[in-house]
Amino acid sequence: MHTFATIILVISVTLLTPVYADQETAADIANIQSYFMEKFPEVPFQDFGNGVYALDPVARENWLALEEFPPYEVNIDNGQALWEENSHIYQLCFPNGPGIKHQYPQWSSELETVVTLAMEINLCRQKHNIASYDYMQAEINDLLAFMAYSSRGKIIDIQIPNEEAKQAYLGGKKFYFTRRGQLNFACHHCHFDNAGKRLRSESLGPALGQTTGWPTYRNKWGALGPLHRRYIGCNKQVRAAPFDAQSIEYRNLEYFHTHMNNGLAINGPSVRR
Amino acid sequence: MSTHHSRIFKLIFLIILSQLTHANGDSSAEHPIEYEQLHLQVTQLYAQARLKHYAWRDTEKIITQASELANQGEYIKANELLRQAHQQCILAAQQASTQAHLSELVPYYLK
Repeated sequence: MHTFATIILVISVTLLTPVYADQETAADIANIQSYFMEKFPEVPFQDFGNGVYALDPVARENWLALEEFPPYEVNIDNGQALWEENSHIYQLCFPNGPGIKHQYPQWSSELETVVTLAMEINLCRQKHNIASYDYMQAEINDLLAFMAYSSRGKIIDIQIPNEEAKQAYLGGKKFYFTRRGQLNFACHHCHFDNAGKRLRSESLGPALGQTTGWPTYRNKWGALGPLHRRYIGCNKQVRAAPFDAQSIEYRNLEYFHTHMNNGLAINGPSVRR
Repeated sequence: MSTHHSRIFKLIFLIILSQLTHANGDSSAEHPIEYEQLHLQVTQLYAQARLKHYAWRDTEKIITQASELANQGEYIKANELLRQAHQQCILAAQQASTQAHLSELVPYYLK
């Protein structure tokens, strides 16, 4: 009888506890997505995941040719081998893995911070007394490539579960819209206001869809690299001092940057110029 | 007349020479002292900029270059670089202070 009453109480509390739904962050998604869809009415929504190749037909041709024999194929194979090497551990940490990229980054109530998939991999390794990966080195990016590949087609669904998570999201949003560095540019100057226009020989990609394809093989790098490496590059290009990969600043930025892509499908790993 | 003129020319020449010598005089005792003061001031400003996340990319590089020049005794060039780094720190702080509120940063078309 006592057990039955406890179950009833737990169910009642669960049903009566309001699910955190924030209007501001929901409005952000609607405003950002409609901004780009109005700016580029000819681009189908899911095509925004292809970045600048959704806007520039010549660049798209080149990119499609590269995708026939993609340079990241070997990284996926290496990543699969790395997953299988410690699959007993990863399956404990990621019961639904390896195709879980669409759920990251996410808020960790335990750690009270935003956790990216790369960080979660290292946390898992630490928990099982295995050395952490260096975030900028090949191994973790190969593993992420395999996990992204396994997540292809899954729809991004980033949650903001509570007020603390919202504060982290707003931190990332502030970072995105703050002018930085000697050139006094904010991220949105290139990727909102001037998306689709040329900057010297390159086209500027729209912010919408920019996080769907990571890790990315960039021809400029000659290697597969993480999103935070690109953030570091962007900050340096506007002559601002960059932050470390997986720093709280970049994790919050990734949280905001990915949240706006809710509804788009994961298409990583990808190849970019 | 000519003697008088030549004396005036000599005097002007000596004044100019002394000014030039002073300007290029790395051996002057003032420059290392100025360097120490500037270096302390700039490194404090830069540390503040790093802490508050508004530092610029090249400021640290400029401070390092100034230190290297000072080690070689090139205090005038070092001080010039430190003044440049100082200016960068001041401008970066101004840039950050004018962007304190998120509501003012988000463009009108996203509100």
